[in-house]
Amino acid sequence: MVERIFSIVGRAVIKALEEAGGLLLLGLRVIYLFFFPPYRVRLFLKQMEFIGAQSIFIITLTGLFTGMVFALQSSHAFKLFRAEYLIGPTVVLALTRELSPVLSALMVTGRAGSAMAAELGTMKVTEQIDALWTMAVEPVHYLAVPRVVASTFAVPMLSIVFSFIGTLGCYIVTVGIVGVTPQVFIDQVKYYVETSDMWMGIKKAFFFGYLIGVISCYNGMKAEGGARGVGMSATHSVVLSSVLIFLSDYLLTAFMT
Amino acid sequence: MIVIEYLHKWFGDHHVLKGINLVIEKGKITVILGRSGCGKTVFVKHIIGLLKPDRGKIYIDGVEITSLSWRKMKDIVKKFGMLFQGSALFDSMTVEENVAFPMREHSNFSEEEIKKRAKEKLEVVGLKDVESLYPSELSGGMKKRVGLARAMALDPEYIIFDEPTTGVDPPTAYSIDMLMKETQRRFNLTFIVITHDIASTFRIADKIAMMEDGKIVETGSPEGIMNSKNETVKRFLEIKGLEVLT
Repeated sequence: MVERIFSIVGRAVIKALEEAGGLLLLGLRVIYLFFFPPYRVRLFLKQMEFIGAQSIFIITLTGLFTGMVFALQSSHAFKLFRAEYLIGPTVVLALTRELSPVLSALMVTGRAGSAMAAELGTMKVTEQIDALWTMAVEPVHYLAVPRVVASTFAVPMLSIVFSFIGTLGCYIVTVGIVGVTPQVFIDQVKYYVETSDMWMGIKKAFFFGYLIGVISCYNGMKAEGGARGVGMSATHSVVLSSVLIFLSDYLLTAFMT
Repeated sequence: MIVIEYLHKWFGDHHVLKGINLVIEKGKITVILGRSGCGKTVFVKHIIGLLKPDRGKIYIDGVEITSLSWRKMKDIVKKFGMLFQGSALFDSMTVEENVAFPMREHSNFSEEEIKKRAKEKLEVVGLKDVESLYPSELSGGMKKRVGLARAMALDPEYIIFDEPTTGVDPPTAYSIDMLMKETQRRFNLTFIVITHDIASTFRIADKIAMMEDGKIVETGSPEGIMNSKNETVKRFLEIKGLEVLT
């Protein structure tokens, strides 16, 4: 019985270490190959369009409602102290420092990360990735570099859009429903929110974007066993990205504050 | 010439290749014949660098490749083309883009020249007016032909065929065999074919290497293999119904 438990735990630990090692190696290889020609600008722009531009609508929606609901919930607490003027800075600070990078990253994971893993997974099981190699094209250079770089730059941009739209949502509720004057809202936000708060969110989003790209590509390129394997690689990629986004968010916050 | 010496490969505890020794001569069709799961595909993936052996050496035109970095290996890989079992065409690209892909990656040809060459390659494999089609719009036989046109795009010295006649009907299999033979003779290329299809093997092979359980058990000319005294070879040929051919 004890032997069996050790065997199960041991196998799980080895698998986790293997995966961590694989992710780390791919992440480093992408950075290394990024500096070598050919520079595939067209593929990069295509991925930017897919990961970034096509996510704007969903980011706008989630950002707007996040800002609105957060302002509405905060208003109940702040009303108790007659401090409604603090709703704006509280929500905007939370948005710029935490919510925008984390929620933007989660939306990109669900929408683009899973699609990237599924696309590469399909290429893997139909030997298209092997075919690239046989044509003397490095698969990581051709497939992973444009995706990881695009994801690294797209998520911070989406995070900025999220912050802006979220602030707009907060403004609508705070000014339109709670009754704070526009001037007070703007003055208080300007007083409490600093550029460094925005930079903190952007830096986090930058890291999350890189993380999503590497995890999605890794899982896609490791897919095995036909349609089921492709589906599992997409699911695993979303789950792992989401967990690591929250975990690294805590570590980055602790490191940056 | 390709020389393989004492090649071993393990996947975990599974010993897949058990000391393969083989010489593949230039300008000939060498068929590696064996039943499914005997390690044929794993073996040829070593030749092109898709897999690294755990033990043994591979010499391509005198260069030992098992320890080469990607940058050096790239020049070796350019000597090869490969036709995969499922053709492995890029499904997001048209037929023309598939065939043009290696040229766009590695040549300095103008766009016009690339398109002209892609068309020529397609004509060599007997395809016309299919440039704008996507792989999903092609039959199995047509996909194989496009795969061969793409494998020939950079005028390689060696072409590897992974089960070229698997999954196609007998007349299509026959036409693929004839196409391979004709192309090999016309351009004096070196073909390495892995298959379990005996009829196809005896139609095209200059040399046959019989593989069983991760080892090469017999090599020789088609006549030599047909008259082999080796029990494994005899059993395989009997089971696969060589008597139908003879």
